[in-house]
Amino acid sequence: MSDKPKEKPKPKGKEIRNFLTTNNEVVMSAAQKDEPRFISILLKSKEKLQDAMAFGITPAYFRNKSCGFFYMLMVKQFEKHNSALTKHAMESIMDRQKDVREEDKSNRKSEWERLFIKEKSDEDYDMLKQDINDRYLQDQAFTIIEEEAGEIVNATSNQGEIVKRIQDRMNSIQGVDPDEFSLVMPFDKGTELAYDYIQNRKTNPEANQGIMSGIRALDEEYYGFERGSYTVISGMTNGGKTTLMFNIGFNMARAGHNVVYVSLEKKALPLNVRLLCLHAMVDYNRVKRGGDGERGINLETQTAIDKAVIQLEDLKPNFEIIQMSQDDTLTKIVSKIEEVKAQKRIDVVILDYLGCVGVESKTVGRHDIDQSNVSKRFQAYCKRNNFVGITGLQIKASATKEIRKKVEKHGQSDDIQDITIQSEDLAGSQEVIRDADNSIGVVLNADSPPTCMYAHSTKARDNQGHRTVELAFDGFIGKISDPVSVADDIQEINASFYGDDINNMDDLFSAEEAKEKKAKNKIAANDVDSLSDEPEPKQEEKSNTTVGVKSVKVDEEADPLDKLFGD
Amino acid sequence: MTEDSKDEYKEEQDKRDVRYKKSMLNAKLFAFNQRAESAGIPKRFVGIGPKPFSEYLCPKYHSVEERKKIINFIYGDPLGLNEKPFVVIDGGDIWTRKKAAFAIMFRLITCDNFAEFIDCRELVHKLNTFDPRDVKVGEGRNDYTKSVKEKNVICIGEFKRGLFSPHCEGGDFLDEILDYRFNKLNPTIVTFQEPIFKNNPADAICGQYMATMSKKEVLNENPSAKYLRIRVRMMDDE
Repeated sequence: MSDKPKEKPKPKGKEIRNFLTTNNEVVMSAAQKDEPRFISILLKSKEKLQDAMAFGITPAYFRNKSCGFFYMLMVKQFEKHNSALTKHAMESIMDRQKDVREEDKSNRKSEWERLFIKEKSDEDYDMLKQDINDRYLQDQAFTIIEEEAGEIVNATSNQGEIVKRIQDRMNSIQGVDPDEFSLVMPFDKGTELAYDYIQNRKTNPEANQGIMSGIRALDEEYYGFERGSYTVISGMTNGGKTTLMFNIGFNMARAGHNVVYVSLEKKALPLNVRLLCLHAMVDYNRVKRGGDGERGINLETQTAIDKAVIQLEDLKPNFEIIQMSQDDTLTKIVSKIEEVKAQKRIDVVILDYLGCVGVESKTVGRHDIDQSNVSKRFQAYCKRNNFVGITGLQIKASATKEIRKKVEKHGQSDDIQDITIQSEDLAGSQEVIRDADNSIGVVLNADSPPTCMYAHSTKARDNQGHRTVELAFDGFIGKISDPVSVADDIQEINASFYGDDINNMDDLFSAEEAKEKKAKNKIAANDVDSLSDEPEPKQEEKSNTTVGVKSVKVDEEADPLDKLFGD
Repeated sequence: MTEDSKDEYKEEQDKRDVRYKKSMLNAKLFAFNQRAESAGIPKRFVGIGPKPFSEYLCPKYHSVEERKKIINFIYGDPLGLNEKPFVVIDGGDIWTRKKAAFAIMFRLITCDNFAEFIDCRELVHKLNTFDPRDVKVGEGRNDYTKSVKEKNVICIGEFKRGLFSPHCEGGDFLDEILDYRFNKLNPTIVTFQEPIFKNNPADAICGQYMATMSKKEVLNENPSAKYLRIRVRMMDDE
């Protein structure tokens, strides 16, 4: 006979219930102790009751039926009268019950008193709340297993459908991601926190609350992007949205933040190539052309790229690209982001772009509502996880024409404030902008390739100005930055088009000047001769007859240029 | 990061900045060429420099000193030209006037402006046309006026008072355009088919602004006009 210990048989079907119930006695015992303590705290504190309600706790959470009953009464009392369940309120409620025996009424009133005095402090409130939530999750999971276990164990076909159903039911368990974002902030606590915040801003102005974009013109407008905020960048097709999001994301990554870039349009590899070219400041088109010729990846370009690789290895910017395809749903996208989040903290999530995300709930004939729902969910996801969320949005075809017209005429000297993208120009639902914290409308100038990007703050929370700023756009490198200096450029540009002539302008008339000087000297030397009948100098005569204006002769006191400028 | 690698990093960063500026500059040069083309400047007249421009100037009207100042003003003062709302060119022949105008237009383009050459006959025809069916679909004279007003730089080529009719409102519309451009300091270059002289009759058929610019002396009485006056000479070649 073998001494090998017998392996415990794997439970199946109804045996699972018995198995779990045996282990649940410990849990039941804990519940019987904790739930009355929890109720006791809620009876004494309206704020804690509000918090529990916001957390999502319902009477079903309580295994102790009496605790569930009291919780239900407290919630109703609060919803109706905005007050706690006091002793008087309890008595009043009981007295009004017609179908309840007097004995039961008296028992309830006594129970209230027992519960009220049970817990003296609320120190354990959070722990108790969490335990109650966890037990409720356990209950729900147990119910699903109890109902589905038999079927999955005994199934001989369609096992995939059964597993999917179990998966969906598990996913729909309430309270799995308890709402840690929602809170009720009492006024005194809020004031205290606000005051501390203001003092901190005063003493540490450099300690920015937001994450900077790396483009000064935008950072001065938005003071950085706050964690948990949601920014929508809108623009025309090929209007620079992706380039701007890419630049902002890469700047943030180089500044030390962890950025996740979700690309639904482009593959990860070309984006990484662009990233490398951007850091190396080389023309991406050289890579596209290929070869090692003068127009391809020549020696200078190769050297720049090699050095950029080495530097990026040192800097280690955290810029992770998630490649997905158009029409992938937000649930799928979020699950990919969660995979990254499981390995490291995420600071910024960029979704390129909103119009490509597949919708999960279809509203017939109203794609804008579906898109708005996707936007809301993404915004909520970023808010709860404290990410900076950035996404892109198209503008309407009808608005494109008007905006192009506005941009076409703008040069360096013009006021750019009339280049605007308003919320009504956006394709899809305006709710996307309405709910967003910030919105930036971008449009490129009329050059091909563009040399300038105008960014209009369509919406900026807490910011009075809806300004348009001008940014430099380099279509070859794919870089967006603050405007480069104009004065230096003019000199270089003039030199490129006009060559050395621009530096030798004084020499243009040197021969003529010499001739004129000689003529003047001759006239001066022959003063006596000038009293004869010789005609007046040709130039003066001709001017008088042809132009009929004051003499061409230069007046030594007045600036000759005055003649040229009508006044 | 060690000190050496920090220095190396900084050096490489500086090189990258230089590459970026060079790339931006190349993009701008390319853009300016394109803007010149869309402005209507023929390729052979793009980038007329100070030397050929100096040869266009009429030596009988402009002294050496004046010519020097004109050249320095157009080519040496990068942004000053943006602040002169009107540039008036007359004299010489049609080719020289046009070349002078193209030279100044291109100079303004290199100051990051967009420009357009408009023939005066075409302009007057559009401004005189009441029936929108006679003009480009969707653009009546009100729309056209608005678009001309707001262009960065325009050149009205070969202005002639005879093109205007006392029975049409071309002059009023032209006044509207020039008044807006004067207020906004949007440069307007006008080449005159006929020479400007003091005895030009004062009339408002072509609007107050053009009437004023047609007569030099009257300008002194009208403080609102500000322009650069250039007379070109007759040249044998194109």
